[in-house]
Amino acid sequence: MFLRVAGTLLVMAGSVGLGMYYSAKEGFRVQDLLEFKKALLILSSEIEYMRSTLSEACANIAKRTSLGISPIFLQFSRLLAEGEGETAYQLWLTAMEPCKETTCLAAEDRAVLEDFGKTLGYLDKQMQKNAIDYAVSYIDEKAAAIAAISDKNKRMYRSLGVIGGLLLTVVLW
Amino acid sequence: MDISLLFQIAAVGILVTVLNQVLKNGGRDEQATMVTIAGIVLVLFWIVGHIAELFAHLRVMFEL
Repeated sequence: MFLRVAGTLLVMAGSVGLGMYYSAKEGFRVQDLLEFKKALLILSSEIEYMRSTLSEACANIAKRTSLGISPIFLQFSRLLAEGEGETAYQLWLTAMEPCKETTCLAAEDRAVLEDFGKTLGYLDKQMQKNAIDYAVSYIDEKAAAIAAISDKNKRMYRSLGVIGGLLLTVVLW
Repeated sequence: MDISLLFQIAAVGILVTVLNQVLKNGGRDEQATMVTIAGIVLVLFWIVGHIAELFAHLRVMFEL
């Protein structure tokens, strides 16, 4: 009997925890998107006013952004400085690779941000700014869309966690 | 037949109904349907042996 009760508690704790994690995950995604937006705005300013190279600009961005996003720009800056002869897009993709694990960005977000790399270092200043503006507008739209359904989803995930745990307990009892 | 099976079936019924409502309110109608079907299949698994037993008893009772 003791083992059953202990098992029930563990199952309930696990499923409630899972529900809480999923309810918080969208918030983390918005945080990461906004952090990326901050990075892109810094990049835009670096291009506009500082006229620094892409490598220097990315190193500066890495210093001014938080844990999830910072390593991407730091790695990209390093790869650019090493200059292995690949295109900036290839280096950008290499730098973006670990963000699957280190950030909560969804696949569609990563696709847009990876696509942004295609225009990095291509043509003139205006081209770079347009690409940044496009990525920033995507982030704004996505963040607004997530915020609109966020509360509803949060409640749903929490309820699913609790009820799912109860159901699993009844099935396994 | 163990009476606790009836309580288990009742509990599953209640919880599946609540899950269904939560998912429907969240705009996930497809998942709500899947949960309902999963609940029905689960309960059927539990009672299929007992139903077979019932029919066996009926055959004996009515000498079929």
